[in-house]
Amino acid sequence: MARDGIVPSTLNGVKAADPGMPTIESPPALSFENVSKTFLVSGDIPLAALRHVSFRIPQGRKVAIIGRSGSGKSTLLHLSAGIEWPTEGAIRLMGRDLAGLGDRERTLLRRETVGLVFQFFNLLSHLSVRDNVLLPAWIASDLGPAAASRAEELLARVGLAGRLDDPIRKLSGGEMQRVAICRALLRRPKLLLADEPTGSLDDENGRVVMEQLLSLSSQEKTTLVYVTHSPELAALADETWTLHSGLLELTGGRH
Amino acid sequence: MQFFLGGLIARIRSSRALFVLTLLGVALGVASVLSIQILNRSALGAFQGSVRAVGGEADLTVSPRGPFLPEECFPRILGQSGVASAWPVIRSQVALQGKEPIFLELVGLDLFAPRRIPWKSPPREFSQALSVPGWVAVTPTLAERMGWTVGQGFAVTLGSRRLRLQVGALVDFQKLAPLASSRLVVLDIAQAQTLLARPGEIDQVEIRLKPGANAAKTADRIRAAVGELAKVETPEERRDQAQELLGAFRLNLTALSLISLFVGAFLVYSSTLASLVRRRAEFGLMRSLGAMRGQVFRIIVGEVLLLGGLGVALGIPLGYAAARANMGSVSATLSNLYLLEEVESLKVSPATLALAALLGIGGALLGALAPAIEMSRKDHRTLLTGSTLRPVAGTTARPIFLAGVLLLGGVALWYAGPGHRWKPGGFILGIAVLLALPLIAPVVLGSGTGRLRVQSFSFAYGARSLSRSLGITSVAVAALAVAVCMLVGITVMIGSFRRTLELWIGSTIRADVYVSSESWSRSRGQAGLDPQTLETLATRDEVRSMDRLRQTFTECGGRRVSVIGVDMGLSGGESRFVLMEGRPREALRRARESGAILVGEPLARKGGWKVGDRLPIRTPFGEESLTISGIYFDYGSVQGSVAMDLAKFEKMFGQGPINTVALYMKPGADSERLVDQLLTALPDRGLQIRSNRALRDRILSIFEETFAVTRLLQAMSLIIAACGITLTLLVLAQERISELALYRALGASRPQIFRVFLGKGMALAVFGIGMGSAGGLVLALILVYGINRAYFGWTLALHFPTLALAGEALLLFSAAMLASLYPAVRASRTPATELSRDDL
Amino acid sequence: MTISRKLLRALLAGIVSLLCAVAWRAVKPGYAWAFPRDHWAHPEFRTEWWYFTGILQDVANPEQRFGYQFTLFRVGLLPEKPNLNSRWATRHLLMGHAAVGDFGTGRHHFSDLLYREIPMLSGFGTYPEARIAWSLAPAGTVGSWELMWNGEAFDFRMRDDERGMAGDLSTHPQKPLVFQGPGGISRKGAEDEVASFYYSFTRLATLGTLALGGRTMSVRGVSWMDHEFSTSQLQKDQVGWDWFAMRLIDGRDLMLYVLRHSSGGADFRRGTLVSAAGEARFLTAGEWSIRSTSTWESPHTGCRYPSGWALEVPAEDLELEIEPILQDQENVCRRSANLHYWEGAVRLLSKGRTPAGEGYVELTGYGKNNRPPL
Repeated sequence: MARDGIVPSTLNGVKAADPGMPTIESPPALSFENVSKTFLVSGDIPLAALRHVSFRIPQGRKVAIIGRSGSGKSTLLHLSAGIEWPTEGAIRLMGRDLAGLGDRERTLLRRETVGLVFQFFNLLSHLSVRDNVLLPAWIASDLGPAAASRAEELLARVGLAGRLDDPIRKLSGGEMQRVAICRALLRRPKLLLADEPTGSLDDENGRVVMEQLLSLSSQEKTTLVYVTHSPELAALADETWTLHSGLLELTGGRH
Repeated sequence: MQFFLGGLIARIRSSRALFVLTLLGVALGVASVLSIQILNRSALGAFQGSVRAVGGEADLTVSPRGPFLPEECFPRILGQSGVASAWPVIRSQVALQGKEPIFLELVGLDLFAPRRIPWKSPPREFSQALSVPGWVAVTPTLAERMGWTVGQGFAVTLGSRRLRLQVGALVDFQKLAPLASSRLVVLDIAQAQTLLARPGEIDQVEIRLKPGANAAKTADRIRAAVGELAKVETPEERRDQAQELLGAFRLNLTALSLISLFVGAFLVYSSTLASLVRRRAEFGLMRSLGAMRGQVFRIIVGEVLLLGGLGVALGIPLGYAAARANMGSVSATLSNLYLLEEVESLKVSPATLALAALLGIGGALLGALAPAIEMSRKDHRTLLTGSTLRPVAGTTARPIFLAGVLLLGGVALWYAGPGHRWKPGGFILGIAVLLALPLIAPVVLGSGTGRLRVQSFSFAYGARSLSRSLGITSVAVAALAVAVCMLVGITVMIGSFRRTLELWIGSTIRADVYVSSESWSRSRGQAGLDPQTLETLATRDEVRSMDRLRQTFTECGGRRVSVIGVDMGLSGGESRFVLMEGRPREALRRARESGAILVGEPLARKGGWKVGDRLPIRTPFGEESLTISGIYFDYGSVQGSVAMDLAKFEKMFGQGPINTVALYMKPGADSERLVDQLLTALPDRGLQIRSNRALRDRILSIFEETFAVTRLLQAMSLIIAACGITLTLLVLAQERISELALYRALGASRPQIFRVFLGKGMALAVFGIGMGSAGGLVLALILVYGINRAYFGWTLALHFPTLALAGEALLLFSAAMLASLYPAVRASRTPATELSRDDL
Repeated sequence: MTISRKLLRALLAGIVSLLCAVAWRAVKPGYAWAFPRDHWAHPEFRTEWWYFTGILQDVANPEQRFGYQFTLFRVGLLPEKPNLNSRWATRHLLMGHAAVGDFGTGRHHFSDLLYREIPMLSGFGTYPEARIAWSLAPAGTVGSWELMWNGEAFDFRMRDDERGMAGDLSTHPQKPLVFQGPGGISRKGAEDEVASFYYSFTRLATLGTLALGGRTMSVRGVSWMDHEFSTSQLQKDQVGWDWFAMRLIDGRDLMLYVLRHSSGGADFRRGTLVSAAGEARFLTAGEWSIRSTSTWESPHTGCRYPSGWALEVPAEDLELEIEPILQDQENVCRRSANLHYWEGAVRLLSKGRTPAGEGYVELTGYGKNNRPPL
């Protein structure tokens, strides 16, 4: 599906196309306004990872981003999580402008609002399944019984109830990613960012994990943004954007 | 090669901190070994230099077994077949007044006998050496230092006597022997005997053999000619004796300095490991491009060699500076405790430098060997896909632990059995303790931190995660533990020693005022107090009684020791001896009435003497065996001493001046005031007049000086250990970068990561200090009860200087925290983007 | 100059002269000789020596002939014994030199010793005790060197085990004692006080034993003895001397000496001719001439000595060639630094090279820095 227009129109398009968009009282989960990110390669050659990207993602929405490697997908996610900051433009996370925040506030905002799922799982091999899921609670110093039962409940929901105390290395890839998803959801983030969550899995496993990710985020009423290069998996989202050389296009959606 | 160097420089740039720390570790290790070697060799060199300067190229030396040689034996020595020439020597140390007295070594020679004397400016008339009273030849160095010219007079003191000397010529002994003392003062033997008031006595005869003469046979003939009076030795035998005398002192310092190197090797191990971990992909690529294992190994070894080389290059000047800084205290120890030559200059031989280089590079290689082998053995797929390198992982920790336990247990059993009877047995046990520490470190650290209950993502979390990198963390703990072990062991030993000494001083130093002379500390028996001085002291109104002491050196039971004569009947005088064997009153009564003797502990221990034994004592007139009625604690000498009644002393050694006196005052008199008054009343006599307090302080300050070098070495190994902590945490920060990135991504703040790392540092410190302290206490027991007794023959009461130990622990902990700060800051700055593709 | 200055000067001069009151005695005419007392030491003079040279033959094998020298020196350090409380205090050194030239093997043997004069090591006797001087043997040898008065002449012995030398000789005069100069004064230079007291026994029958390299022989021969003591033996500008002591076949004896100037030439020379009957005639410089005909370079010291002379004493109708019996008769002292000289037996040849006698020649002060410390 081809479309004319530039990225800002996408923003407007999204806005216009969604009458059910939350009002001022409930700000978008994530918004980019004219965001660009330029890296200096080899010290001084600028390389634009994102160019003038603008969008708003209402709370509860599931967005898939497709792009080839090097298209700026990861940069977009890192910017969203406040791990990196833009060269220009404004990013708002749950209505808060990241630009105004210091590292400490940004970290706290990330801790409370954002869940991250990575292509390579990034589980700690020395911790058990349960402790891996509980890691965000450790970091948040919120390691009470509530956190523990939440972890057990999440793991039960992905079918790992019996594996709570297993070491990570005993899990299959699909299982590992499910643990990672539970970890991301432990603190009930408003925004779940997943970077190629099925990239390290075979098609079959990938599909299962993706479905669980979507259903869990629906159950948790979490806004989900995920990056994938599989159109098939992208189609499972509410809408699909394509990143191409740092430019974002709306390429499809169920709405 | 260029590829190798280029890569190396890039790597050094990328991890400057690691490189600097490792370099510092190697350099400090090399420096401490080198400084001790330089000091040891210079001390021996000073001894030999002066032997050579005085004895020339002597092939044999005849020295007295009694206090001196009667000069009549000289012609008998001269006539023996094989002797090409012989010359008599008489010597004494005199004090040259100044802010700090300078001790000049007067050497009386037959200046008219055929022998080469390295005149700088020869006397205009040789006969002046005889005709000008006090004519002496001094070294150009001394003349320059004192601003003397030929013809100038100066005064020195020997005991309370003032001797007027005159510079008659300059003689450059350092031309003959570069390490010879600049304080040698040469004069004719006739003048020397007159000035020293020792007519008829000589101290040694130096002998040159005719070419081809058999030294052993000639020595036998001389022995036969002079009989029991003397011993005949080669320069090698004399050097060996000095070496043996200094053996324990040297061994201690050498062992201590090697600890620094040992700790330094741990540092190299950690840093090599770290650099290899970072470069594993690079090596993987090289291997997949066809590089051989040997090639990978050679690259690693080449880099370590370079590191070792740089460490050595840095360590050599550092070691020299350290030696230079400690020359004074070592010199003071040698002259105070061993009555040996002062060390005036440092001797750095190529062999010493080569040894330092060998140890530095060898230590670095040793540290790098295990990681290098491991790395070169990995196949390239493992390297590229990158599971982290972890030698000494959980699986190997246990066998190593067992080895440590077995080693320590085995050596302890051996020591309990035959080992403790062998002199160096204590050292072996001590080394076993020091080796066991690193071996058990992984298990202790692993199980210790693994069991931590972690409540939050903070200090404890960091500590607990140490157990996952035992390969690196246990090395840091081991290095710290070894350094702490040594520190604690030696602190306790010095503390015990000091406490024992304080108690001993407390009970033996009871008089109110002590009078000796400046030269007494060097010349002992020769430094007498003249009758007029004694009269002045004895007739003071404040003085209740006066305790007189004479001293000489002679052979007792085959060892040359100090013999003192005191009034055994002095009322209340029992306190002067604290007996470890024998009853005080009885022992002193027998000494007074039947000429029995008391023997100091070191001599009793070394010679195996017990109460009731008869100890043969050599006198100028023969040999006499006296019954031992008591054995007393004696911390004043390493060789030991014998005490007898003054009357018996005079009978055995003839009339002679009193060397020191102690004054007991009437109640209520002020001793400090008396000291001041006496100093004014008896000027210019080179007297040392000290109150009880001042003497105690003086003894303790000599004691402290003796351990100055020890403390420096401790400090060095602790600095290295602290470097180790920094290094380890930096390595962790680098190795676990993606884990840290994950924490950041999951919302961990910078202060949190900082605390996690500080927690790691704290845990390293706590385990290092804890294990080290435990080992140190064991080491202290070995030092106090084993090594010290075997080598010095002193009984020390074990005493834990709690305050000092607590202070050290606090200091160490603070140092460890300080060492953790920089890595913690670095770690907390890890960007969340550093997420890795590896499993974590 | 003020009066007070003058006074001060006078005072200082007085003090100096007082201090110098104890000084070495100068050689001056009017000495009252008294024998045998004057055979003993004269410690008031700085330097003294007893010099024996001669030629000996093995009694058992007369073909075996040896030249020998035995000398004891008294080296004055101080005119008075220093006031020190030590038995090492002394005012003299004793130096001893002994040499044997083995004409058969051509080898020259030399032994020397140097001790301070203290009872332990060496000493000088006083008349009438028999011992004139003695010393411990050199280091490595038990025993002593001694010089004794035997009533007519001298007995002496030496021993050096390291060099394998020993000698024990007794002498009897064949000719009476002669003074080597008017009143026994032998002048050495233009300055009056540069002179010595000097007498000789020119022919002493000698008997005794000689041991060389482990072989002990009975020997006999003839010796020449010089006893000389002085305070100033060499003038400042003199470097050494050539000395000749010759016994002619015709029964005459001739002693000659040449003091050499630092520039190389002869500075002062004299001689004494003793008739067969024992009467001395003192020869002035004008009465004789001598020139060196050859030189020899020492392999030990690198020093070049004259070796071979032509002598003429026209008034006595004497024309002699003097030839060393051995080229190498150099004495190199081991115990006195830088002291070496040539002292050796010579043969005398008259015209047609017929044997005319034998003697001894001493050459001192050759080589660098080798001026005798006199």
